[in-house]
Amino acid sequence: MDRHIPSNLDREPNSPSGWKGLQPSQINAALGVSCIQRPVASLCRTFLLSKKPKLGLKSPLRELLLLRFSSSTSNLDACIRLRLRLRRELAAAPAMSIFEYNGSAVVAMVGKNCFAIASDRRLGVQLQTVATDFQRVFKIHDKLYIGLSGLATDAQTLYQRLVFRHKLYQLREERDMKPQTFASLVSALLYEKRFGPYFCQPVIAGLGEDNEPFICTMDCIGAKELAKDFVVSGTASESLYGACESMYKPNMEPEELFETISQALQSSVDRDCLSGWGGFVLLVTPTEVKECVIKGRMD
Amino acid sequence: MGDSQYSFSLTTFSPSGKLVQIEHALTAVGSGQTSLGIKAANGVVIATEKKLPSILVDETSVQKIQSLTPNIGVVYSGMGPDFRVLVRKSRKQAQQYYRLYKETIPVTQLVRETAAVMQEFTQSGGVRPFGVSLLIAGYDDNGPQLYQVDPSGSYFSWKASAMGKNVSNAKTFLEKRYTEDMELDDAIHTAILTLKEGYEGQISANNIEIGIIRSDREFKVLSPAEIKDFLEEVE
Repeated sequence: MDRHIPSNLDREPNSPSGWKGLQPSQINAALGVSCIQRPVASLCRTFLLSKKPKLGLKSPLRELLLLRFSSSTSNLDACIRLRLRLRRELAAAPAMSIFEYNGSAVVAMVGKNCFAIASDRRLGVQLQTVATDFQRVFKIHDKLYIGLSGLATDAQTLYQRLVFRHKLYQLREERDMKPQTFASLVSALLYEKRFGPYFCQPVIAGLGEDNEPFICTMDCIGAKELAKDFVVSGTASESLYGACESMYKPNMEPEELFETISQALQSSVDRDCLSGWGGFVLLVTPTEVKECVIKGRMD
Repeated sequence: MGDSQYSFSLTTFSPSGKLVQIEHALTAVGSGQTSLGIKAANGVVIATEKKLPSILVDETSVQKIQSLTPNIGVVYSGMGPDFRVLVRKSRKQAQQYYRLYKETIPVTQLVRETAAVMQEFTQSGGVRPFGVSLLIAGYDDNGPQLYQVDPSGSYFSWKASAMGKNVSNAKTFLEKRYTEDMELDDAIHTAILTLKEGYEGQISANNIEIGIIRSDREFKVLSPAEIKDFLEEVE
């Protein structure tokens, strides 16, 4: 590990000027904490570049830094102990996924010649609720809908791009997209951003040729997952799986399907603190579309 | 700077409002070998004569009818090398469509894309228009289809059409023979007769090419043996 210490550190270990222009990765190497996260590394840099590092602060990181670069051999034991403590604390810090930043719950179910798609209505910033009428289910055409769970800003951008692509397709080909075709398009658009993805997990539901219902979901880079019964996504997806698995029956009539999906959504969001505040349910049959805002626990 | 002087489109309007380069391209097509297509009730046939410059050429190595996708085929009149470029571009377009939608490209879409390429070559710098007209035959959800694409980039849907040498004779012949409810086998016979009509010399299974597509949506170029059977039926 010591071999990787940049040479300018050895020359002037305590002089702030010696640290200028160091990259976070170099600091990581110098500290011997390869698992150190980037924010921590930049914190180190700020600390090292400040004119007078305060010695009194008890943060393990600061202690480690001071020990490491003041008298490197005599404090080796303390240094290793601190390094271990630092690693432990980093590992124990709660990891926040960007998919969970706003909170969401989306579900789609298939019935007899019909389907339903539903979502919660909460928009949050972590645990704080910002809006309670947020739309996550969007219409592509009369018999095709998409629900976008995950980061709200990306959901809206992705929806705009999809509408654009679908309108272009309608103009060129003078027909609506089949649900399967649309799913492939979404998948292709998502994979285009393979290394900087939209933080969304789409749920696609539609009636195809002969009013055959089609549902599918995919991950944020477009890996499709087809299902015959139901698909779920969002922060409440785990509880949605449970609720749907116990409530779903094949070949439900529209009325029963509506009831089932509403119950499944409602009971799932009650088990999730990041989604809820009522729900939005869409029931699509070959002849009509029923849109409904449902109330639940509004807290 | 040096480039821009010469990067003008070579097809510039003449004072009379014509694009002379395109007219020349059409002349090149008009002096090319005859090819024709007929849309039947249950399929499409495209056919062409395959005259070779010398009897020493191995006729099995010449393929004037090509498939673009499993359910779309194409034949040309005019310059062979230009045709190959278009076939390559069209096939690529078809695959791009498939990659995006996981669905085979509809005939109209492929025709439009191909025509767009041909149009682009009438307006770009440093290129010339294609010296070919294409007959594109396909079968998709909209049934059997036959399109012709010209060097200008304009395209038409035909019930039956011909191009190349003897166009007018061939078209008159087709006009007489064509009926709406024609079956594919009848259409193949008519195609052979039309070719025969304008052919200088004796036609045989080796000096014509026939491509067919039926409702199974598999475009197929007939082998000389298969053509021979049809030739015998005609006689």
